[in-house]
Amino acid sequence: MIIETHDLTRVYGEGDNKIRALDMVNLSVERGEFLSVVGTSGSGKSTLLHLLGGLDRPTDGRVFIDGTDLYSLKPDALTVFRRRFIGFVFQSYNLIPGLNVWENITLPLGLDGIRADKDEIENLLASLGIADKRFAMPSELSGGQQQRVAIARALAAKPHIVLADEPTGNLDSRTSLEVLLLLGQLNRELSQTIVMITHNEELAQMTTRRVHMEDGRIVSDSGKAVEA
Amino acid sequence: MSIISNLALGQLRSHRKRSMVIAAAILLTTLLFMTVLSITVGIAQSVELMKQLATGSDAHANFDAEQFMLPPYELMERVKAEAGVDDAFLIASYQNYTDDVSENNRRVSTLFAVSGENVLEHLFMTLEEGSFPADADEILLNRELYPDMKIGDTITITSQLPLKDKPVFMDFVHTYTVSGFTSGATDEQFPALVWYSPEVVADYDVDLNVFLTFDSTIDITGKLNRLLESLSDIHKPDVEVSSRVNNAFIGADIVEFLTNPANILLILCSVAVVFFAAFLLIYNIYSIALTQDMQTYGLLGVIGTTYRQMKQLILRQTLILYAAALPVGLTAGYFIGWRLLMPIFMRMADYGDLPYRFSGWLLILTALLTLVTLIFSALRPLRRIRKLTPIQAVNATADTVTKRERQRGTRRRAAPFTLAMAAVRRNPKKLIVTSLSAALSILLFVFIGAVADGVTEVTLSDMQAADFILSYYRDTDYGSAPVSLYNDVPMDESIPQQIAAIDGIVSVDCVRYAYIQFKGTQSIADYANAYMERRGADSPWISQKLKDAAAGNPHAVVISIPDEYCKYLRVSRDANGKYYEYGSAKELYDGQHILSVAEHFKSFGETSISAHLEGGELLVSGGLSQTYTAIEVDSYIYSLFRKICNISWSSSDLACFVLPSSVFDAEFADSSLFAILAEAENGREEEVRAALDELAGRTPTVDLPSSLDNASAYLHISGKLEQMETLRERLAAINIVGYSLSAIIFLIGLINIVNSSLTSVMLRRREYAMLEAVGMTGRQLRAMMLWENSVFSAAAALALVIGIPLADIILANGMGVEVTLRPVAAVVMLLVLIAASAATSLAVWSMLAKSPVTERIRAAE
Repeated sequence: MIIETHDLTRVYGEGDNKIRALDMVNLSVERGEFLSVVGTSGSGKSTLLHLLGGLDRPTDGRVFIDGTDLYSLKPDALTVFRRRFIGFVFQSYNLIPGLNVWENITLPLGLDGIRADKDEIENLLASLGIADKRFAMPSELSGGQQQRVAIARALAAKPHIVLADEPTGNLDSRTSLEVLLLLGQLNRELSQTIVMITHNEELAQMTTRRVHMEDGRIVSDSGKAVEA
Repeated sequence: MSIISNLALGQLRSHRKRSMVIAAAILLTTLLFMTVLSITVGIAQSVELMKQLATGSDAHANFDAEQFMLPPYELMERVKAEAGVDDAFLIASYQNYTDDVSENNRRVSTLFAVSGENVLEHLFMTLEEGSFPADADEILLNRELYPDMKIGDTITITSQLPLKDKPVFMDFVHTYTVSGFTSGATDEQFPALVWYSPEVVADYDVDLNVFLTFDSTIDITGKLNRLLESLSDIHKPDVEVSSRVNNAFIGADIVEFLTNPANILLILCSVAVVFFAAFLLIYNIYSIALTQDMQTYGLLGVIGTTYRQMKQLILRQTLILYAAALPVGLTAGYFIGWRLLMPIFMRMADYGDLPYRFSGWLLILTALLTLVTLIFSALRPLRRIRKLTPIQAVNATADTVTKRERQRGTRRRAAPFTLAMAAVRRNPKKLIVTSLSAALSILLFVFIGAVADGVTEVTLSDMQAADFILSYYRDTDYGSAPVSLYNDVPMDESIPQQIAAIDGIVSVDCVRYAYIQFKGTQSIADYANAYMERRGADSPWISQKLKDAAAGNPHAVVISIPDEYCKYLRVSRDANGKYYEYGSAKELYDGQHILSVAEHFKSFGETSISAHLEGGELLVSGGLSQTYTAIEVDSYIYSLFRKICNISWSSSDLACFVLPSSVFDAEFADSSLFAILAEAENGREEEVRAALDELAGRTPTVDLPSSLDNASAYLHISGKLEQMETLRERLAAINIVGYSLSAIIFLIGLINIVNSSLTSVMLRRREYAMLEAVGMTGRQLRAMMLWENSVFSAAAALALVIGIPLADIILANGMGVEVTLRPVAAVVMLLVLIAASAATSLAVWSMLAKSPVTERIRAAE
């Protein structure tokens, strides 16, 4: 298993205002899976993704990525782990405005003190269809192009898993489809493990496994029977 | 280029305006530090330079060459070669120099014979014309004192030197050819300089010293002791080696300087004021920038940027701006701080003409202090990031709703006031920081203004008491000086009546004197004997008065001060240099007591205390109708009388007593007039001054004893109004410096407040747009902004109400004068800041409101 969660729980607020965003979630993901997490707003899917990526802290439970207990790591070690093994794609792209496309993509490598392999990045840009935009600034790109750059950045460090939080949420339907096809292609050709959050059932159907969430719990999983 | 540097550059590029503001803040900080350090260095140098110019040399120490077995020039070379010694040179003093070309054929001064041209700079002398003497027959002359001489002329000089084999002074006569001319900066100008040749003065016991400078001024005493220790192999046997450290460096020794807590406190306070002002400015900008960039930092955290790398990112951004702004700041600091404000400040302290030396250390220290301030201020806000998880940072907005806010939500009415208060409650830290920074800017503003007022107050308190003081002066080679009481040249008794007759004169009082002989004490006799012994029994400088003192019948001058001026007698000074005046103590006026002046003076390199009666001893004299009990005053007479009149006497030959005029007049029916103190009617001072000038012009000069250079005395006018004329420039300078610094502080406060207001509106533009979307009118929005502003104003005003009395207490204790901060200035500045804040908020909002609401909401997302 590349991802495993044990009784993962996240509670926000205190007293009467307590909200159980994630409630005892147990999830396992095999290497090379393209998993989509579907649910309504407030179902806990984003919280799950954040906890899988080490971006938040669980109230209870554990997360293992490739055998490493994520939350047993110290903050800086967790950051470095995330940098090396997890790639993120967000709905709002989150590119660094002051850096051009090339610089944005090579940023995680640079932070790790690794010199980017020029050919690899060129190939990545070409496969994502943004080879001609390598020196463009984020503000000069369309939404679809910005999301491609974000995907390229997520893949640049060759992560074990890619976590995508509503990657098509800000895109029109045509561009959304293109982006999803691209993620599918990466999953197939590079055996890249991808966990994607979406509330679009149609797009979720294009992934290899679908998990449905409601009120912080997994209510259905196309990959296996849901534990009671 | 590393990815962090690249990122730093990218962020700077994408926030050009913000980067410019930070660069401007760095520039201002550099300028402020440079100014404060320049003034500190100026003060330190002036103390050192004043002492150096008074001692006549920048040498760190000296010792007698005669104590060593080596010939003088070999000894000098040996000293030069010793570890830690920077330079060494020889100076021989030929006493009581006279020449054959001056009008009066006498200059009471010393001819110096030195070892080489390098000595000139150590004596603050500049070679204006010609060259240094090539041999012992050539001479350098002071151009000012020998205006009619030219190179190649001959001059015969006579000095008095003790003979080697018997303790008598003999004339040493030598004819020199003029090789060049010098000018000098020292208090006492050296009239002439020759090259030292041991052969030429072989028969005389010349006072020859080895002077030296060390590599640094740190621990001069220790270095000198170690040097003498290492020279122990050439000490003459049975001679106790003596040496002297230049007094100029005692106070300048960094070790001694730093052991004085008052000095450390002064430096720390000055640096802390600038540090705090700059910290507030830079911290505010970075704090706001961090809020703006919170999502970027969150994202960087998501993609694996460690906290350390984020710190590096901020540091590199800061260093890039620092590198760009520092040269401009240092250049501006050099010209404004060192070249403009420091000389003004020094001039106001009367040290304007000293040869200040600019040091590269000043630039380095300024750069370092600016860097420390910058790094501290820039990195401080980043701590907030540490408290957030990356996803909290990514999702952060300026409008985070607090738990308390959620609880109150249902109870609140949506009016501009309640919304404004809600916004204030949502971010109380911002309110505190903004209010405190405004209050501190205002406090610093009025504080510096008050310090300038305090310095003015201190300066004014140092002025003479009477509007006009008339006394006899004479011209000397070194400027005009009061005629000494020793010369007994009384003023014409008709002059007070003439002055009283001038229209506009309110009062005329007289300073009088009389001579007496009194019953001496053993300590006075001992003093006189010791003094005569040092001079030598055959010395022509031993007066009959001194011989009488040795015989138990010392002479004294008794000075009378008008009763109402006695309170101004400066009887003591504390370790911090603060003077204490006699005030209204009654015992001086009771007819039973008399002030006995004990003046320290130097003679033959040794410090003596003038003949005086110690406190409680009785003054018994045939010239007095009764005995008086002495009140001993340990003070220079010049200092004692500073606020009453300029005075000098011969402390080596005479004792000096002071009585109030009411007692003096009953004692001496026939006394002499020394000075007249006159007060003019308010507003008629100019008129009176013209009449006094006219009186001085027609009063004939008086011949002085022939032993003085210039044999006539003339009536001279000084006093408070005269001092005011010269002080006017200094007072203006105080205000220029004080208000320049205040202006910089004000500017920092203004930038802070404009910056805060601007960013606040920009960060909340979505909230404003949404309020507008749900029906809030522009007028209601503006009202809401003004309500928010009023809370900050009230908080700042509250901080001031507490801060101003506190600062008053600090000032009163620190400066020792009653200075109060100006609340009006504080209120005006507060109003300006409030207006600037409100105007900025409204202007930015008006600018944003030009685009449609939906566009603004979308843009903010």
